[in-house]
Amino acid sequence: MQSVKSYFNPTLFRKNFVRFWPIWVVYLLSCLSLPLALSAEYSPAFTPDVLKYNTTSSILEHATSFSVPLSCVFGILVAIAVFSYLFSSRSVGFAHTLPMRREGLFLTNYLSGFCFFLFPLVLVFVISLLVCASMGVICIGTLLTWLVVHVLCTIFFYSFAVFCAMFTGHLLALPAFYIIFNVLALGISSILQVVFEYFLYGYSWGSFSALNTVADWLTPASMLSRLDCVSDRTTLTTAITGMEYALLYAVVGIVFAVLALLVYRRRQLELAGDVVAVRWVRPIFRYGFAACFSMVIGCVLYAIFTNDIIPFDSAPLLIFFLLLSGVIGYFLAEMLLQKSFRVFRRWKGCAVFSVCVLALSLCLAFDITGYTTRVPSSQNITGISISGISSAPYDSAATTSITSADSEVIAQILSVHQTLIGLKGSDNPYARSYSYLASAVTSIPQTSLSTTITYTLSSGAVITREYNATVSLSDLTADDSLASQLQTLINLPAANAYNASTYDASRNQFFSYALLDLIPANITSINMMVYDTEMDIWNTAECPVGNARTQLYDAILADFAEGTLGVRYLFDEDPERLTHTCANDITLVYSVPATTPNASGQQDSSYVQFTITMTPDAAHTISAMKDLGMLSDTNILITNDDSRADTLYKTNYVR
Amino acid sequence: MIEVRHVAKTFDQFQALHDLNMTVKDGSIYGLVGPNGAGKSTILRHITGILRQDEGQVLVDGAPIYENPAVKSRISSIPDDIYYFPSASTRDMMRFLKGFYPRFDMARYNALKDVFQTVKETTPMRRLSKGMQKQAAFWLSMSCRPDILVLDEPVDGLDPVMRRQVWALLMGDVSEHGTTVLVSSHNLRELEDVCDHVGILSHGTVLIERSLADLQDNVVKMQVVFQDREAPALPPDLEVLHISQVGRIHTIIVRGSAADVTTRLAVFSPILMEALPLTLEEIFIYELGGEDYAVREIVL
Repeated sequence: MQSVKSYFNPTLFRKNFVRFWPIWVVYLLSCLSLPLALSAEYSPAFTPDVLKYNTTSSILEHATSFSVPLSCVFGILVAIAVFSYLFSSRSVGFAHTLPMRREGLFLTNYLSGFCFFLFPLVLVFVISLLVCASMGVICIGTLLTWLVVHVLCTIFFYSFAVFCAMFTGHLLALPAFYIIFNVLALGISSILQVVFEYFLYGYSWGSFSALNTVADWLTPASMLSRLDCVSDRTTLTTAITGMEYALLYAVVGIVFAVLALLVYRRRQLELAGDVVAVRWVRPIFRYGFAACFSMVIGCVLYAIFTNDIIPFDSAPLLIFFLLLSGVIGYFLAEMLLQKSFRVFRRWKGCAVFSVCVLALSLCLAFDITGYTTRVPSSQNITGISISGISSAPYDSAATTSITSADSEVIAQILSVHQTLIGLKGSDNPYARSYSYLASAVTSIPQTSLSTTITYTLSSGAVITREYNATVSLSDLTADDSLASQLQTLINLPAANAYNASTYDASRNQFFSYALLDLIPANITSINMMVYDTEMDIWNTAECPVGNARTQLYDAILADFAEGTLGVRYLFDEDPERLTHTCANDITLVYSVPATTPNASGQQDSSYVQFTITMTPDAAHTISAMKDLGMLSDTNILITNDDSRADTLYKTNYVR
Repeated sequence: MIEVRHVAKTFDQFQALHDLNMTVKDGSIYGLVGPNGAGKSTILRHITGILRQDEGQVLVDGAPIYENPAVKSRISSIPDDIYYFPSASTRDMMRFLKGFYPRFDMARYNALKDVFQTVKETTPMRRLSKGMQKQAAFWLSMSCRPDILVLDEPVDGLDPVMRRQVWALLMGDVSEHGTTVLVSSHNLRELEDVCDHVGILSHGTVLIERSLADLQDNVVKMQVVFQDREAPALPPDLEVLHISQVGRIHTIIVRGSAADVTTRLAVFSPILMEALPLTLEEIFIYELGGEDYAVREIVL
């Protein structure tokens, strides 16, 4: 039976504390920022409640702001220190001649390292408690939360660093592995998507949302950044959010610690000094390094060449760079493993790797899954959205996205999608930037689109595609052109933002009511900027209160119904738009009652502001405005065409 | 008793140990000799519990050494490249080892101060010379009161006086406490003085393992002057390891006992014949000659 002593050695524990004191002292000094911050919170002018609020906010802010960076940085420093004996054959020999089992060595070193964090944290906890007490604030619970947050983050990052330490026998490789593994998932996810984007026409970074989710979860610093302190100064309450993430990662940290112990038990000590000290991990490192190197360097080379050296994109060139980088990466990995430059006789593994890279690249280049040409059937689509289409005029309907479940909109977007797919061969399929050169040499207005189409299917699945294309004003004459189809799309009644929900940019939210479906009684103001020809200035013409607003709103609806108001144009420079829209915008303020009463039982209201670009063709609205005195011979509308002319404000205006 | 049974160890594709068998009896001083790269340090690292063998067993009194604190607490070792904590003094290392070795003897430690008086107890070990570090290592190891002392090139770096003192201490421990000493060294002259058993290692396996007396009795150096200037044809069953001639004197290294070989050569009625014992160094050279490790004439 093994004695307890063989699993823990107090001498080794103490020795670690004495040997590596600078680390825990610096950590202690870092944590002492909390009591310092707390003492700065005190002011005799504060009431006890305010003082307590300030104190608790300060403690929780410290917990959420400092716990992740401190434990992340010190986690690796402490792991390097307490397991430094694994990185040279002399020290590893000495440590393992001692009469202790590996479990004992591991546990003693692990626990001593953990106490490098725990002891200073407990000390700072006590000091902070005393500081708070001296200010007359008792906040044991909040300080305990601070302690728990720090301990949970420490368990994860320190255990993860120890886990990394078990796989390497090289001192410099450990921090490198630690940093790389902390961001590896996010990095691989991103570079994979870049590769997909290069190969697959229409690829969207949202296509594999699961990949992004997994990458997020495998990037602890990213998820732990959700630890936050939420304070409300009005109610003097403060709370911490994201504790569940800290708890979850702490559990993962314990799993890492157990796995580290299992790896340590099987570790071959003769590999001390090697970059990878566990034999079965060496092929994983070799091929993993080569694959990452292939993708990262291959894509960088490809981007440099296609941007600066050759003016077109090419799948064969991309494959060539992936292969070239893969071969270089393979031999670099081999050099690190063998600690030698003479590694080229191991060409067989490299050949196998290259064949795999080539096969995967060809699969992507030839799109064997049919990703690029897949368009869902309209019967299966329950919702659709398209974004990245800007249109003029620039009023409340000038949104860049359309979301709808209307069959007409769905059919039109499907048509747009098919047209975009058809551009793959004829238009440059890998183009992703606006052709400034083309724009410069031609006088025909053109615009670059970076559009995203998202389908929600009846199965619940979501399909997303992204396209970059350049459309020209001259294309509008051809019915089947992309420009023409988009022009039709933005003018479909169900796609028109006046009819659909309205986006309030200032609040960054969508409202579930449409401009054309308002309750007239709730309209609190309608006005328009008009040009005063006598004074040569712009004035605000306000619609009178009462029925006048209803009259004007009805006139606006009538013009919308006749298509003389609310027409959208894909091109800002479209002559039709310049002629048929005015520089004047109607502003309509709408009162939206709150759904729930406020604290005093009263029904608050919020206000939404709509703007509608006026047109010279909106006969009903113009007539109503004239009746209401908003327009006159001297207060006039001006078309955009005239607005741009040199003869501005002197002729051709609409009276 | 240390028993190594059929041990094999491979580093990457290099087989460092191959079917290695050796037995070190309690209370003996066992010299492990062999050419460079034969696997001496590797087997010592197995015996001290650092490395895990791929095959076979490494036992002390029937119990495995690897991951066995009870056995390892009875073993102390001095490797060729001594490790100490950076900035640690001999006293610091003593305090550290005291926490691990239950039989650490403070009285012995204090007594050995007089022997190793050139080593200042409080001086950081990194500031000591190589020889002084070796002395400090002996001081600490012997204070652990081990049953088994494993030494890899132990007196390398020590001056002749200190060598003699260290060997005297070791032999005192062997005789008084029955300590088993396993020592690997290239200094065969010194081993010959202290070892009672010798194992010759080559290519990761033990070629010969005997007591020194048996080993010396097994090979004999004959100096013979025959009737004729040239040596006669010797019997084919006489296992001649080496033969050389200076003037009329023939020096013949033959496997077998001195008495037996003398009788066999007497039939040639030599003018002069004398049997001389071989030194350990000569045994090492001639035994390994058969392993393609003979001393070669170097002509530049």
